[in-house]
Amino acid sequence: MKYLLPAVAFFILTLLASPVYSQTPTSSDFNFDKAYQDYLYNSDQYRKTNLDYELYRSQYLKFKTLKSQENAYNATLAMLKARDDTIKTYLTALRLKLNETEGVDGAQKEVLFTKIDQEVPWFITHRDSLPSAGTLEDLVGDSDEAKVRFNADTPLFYGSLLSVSGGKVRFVREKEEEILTSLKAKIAEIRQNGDKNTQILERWILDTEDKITRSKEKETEAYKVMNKSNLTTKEASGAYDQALFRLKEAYQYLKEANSYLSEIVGEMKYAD
Amino acid sequence: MPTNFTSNVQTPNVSQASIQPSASLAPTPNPTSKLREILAKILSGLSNIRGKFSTQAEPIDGGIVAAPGISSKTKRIITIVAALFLTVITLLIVVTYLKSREKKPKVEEAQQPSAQTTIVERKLSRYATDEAVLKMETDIKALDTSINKEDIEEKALTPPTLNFDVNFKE
Repeated sequence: MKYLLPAVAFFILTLLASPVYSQTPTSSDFNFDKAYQDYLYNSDQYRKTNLDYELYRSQYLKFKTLKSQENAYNATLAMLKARDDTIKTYLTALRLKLNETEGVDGAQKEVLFTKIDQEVPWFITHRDSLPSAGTLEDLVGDSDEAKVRFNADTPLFYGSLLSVSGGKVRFVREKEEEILTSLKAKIAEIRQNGDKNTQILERWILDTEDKITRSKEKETEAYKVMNKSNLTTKEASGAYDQALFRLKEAYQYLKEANSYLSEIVGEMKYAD
Repeated sequence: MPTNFTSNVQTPNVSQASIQPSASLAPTPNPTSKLREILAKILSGLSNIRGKFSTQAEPIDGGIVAAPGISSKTKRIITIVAALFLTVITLLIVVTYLKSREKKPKVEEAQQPSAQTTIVERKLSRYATDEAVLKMETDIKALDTSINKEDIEEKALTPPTLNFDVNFKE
């Protein structure tokens, strides 16, 4: 009886505390879907502030009054902050996408993570350093800084996107290679047993391997196109389009290879 | 001697009284009398019609010519000619029909491709129930679903379009 009351109290407190604990966001809870929603929200906020900026800018240029200058300053400040937030949340979403996509090469992922992890704090610092009071020229200078940084980051954006797409291709290819290895082992077993002619199966295996090899070649070509150094913003976009086209070709070869695998297994199930 | 009836043809002069029933029969109260009366009228009507269509040669020197407008010999000739004509026509129709039947190309019955495909029943091998084979089959199917569902392009994450043209110059 002496210990019963504290025990019950402890039990009740534990029950009350647990839901509170479960609601606390942990790093594992913050996934791509949440990061993407965050990005969409900030992007929407940015669009609104940009409209305000355009409006107050034109008013300032028209009236040149102190009031219109003040309004233009505040609108520009809000827009620059929202713009930095948009870039920050975009980079975060991109990072999580890279992290969650199966098949992305580990070393490639690490390189990209390092770059992204440098850029996110830069935009946070830039946002926080924007002066709440100052001149319009100061804000123009701050905006230009972000512009240079953003343009320099463009190859990183497209490189990350290509790695995500490449990861998807690689994932399928590796799965097919696994299945192909098992199939080869099974065909060797059938040949040894001698209860089925394996000539057709072996020929079909060669055809499947050929498709996978072609897919690999296209993958390599894609990365070669994208890995050219010192790409400008425009060049990076063009290179990404070309590389993506090659990855799509690689994926098509894998689709065909998978269809072949299905036929091989189907044939294996029937006697001669 | 045959009468030249073509020039002496005359409308017959048949009297009504000669074909009508006698008047003494009319007043009988017999129920058949009415019927007889009707029959008599029909007969008189028919004889009138006959009179209009038949010709009679004019008697020569008051003699009576019993023969009608066409002599029996001519009738026979016409009948024979008509019969021959009809026979020839009938034969022609029959011959034409038979010839056309012979010449008509046989309608080749187009061989319809059979809708049924031949299903060759294949015997299952002992690997049809092999655990490793079944696992591979499942893996391939799962991969196929994944391939067809996945779009490798990340359209939602294309870099944002932002306004970096911030200035206050006109």
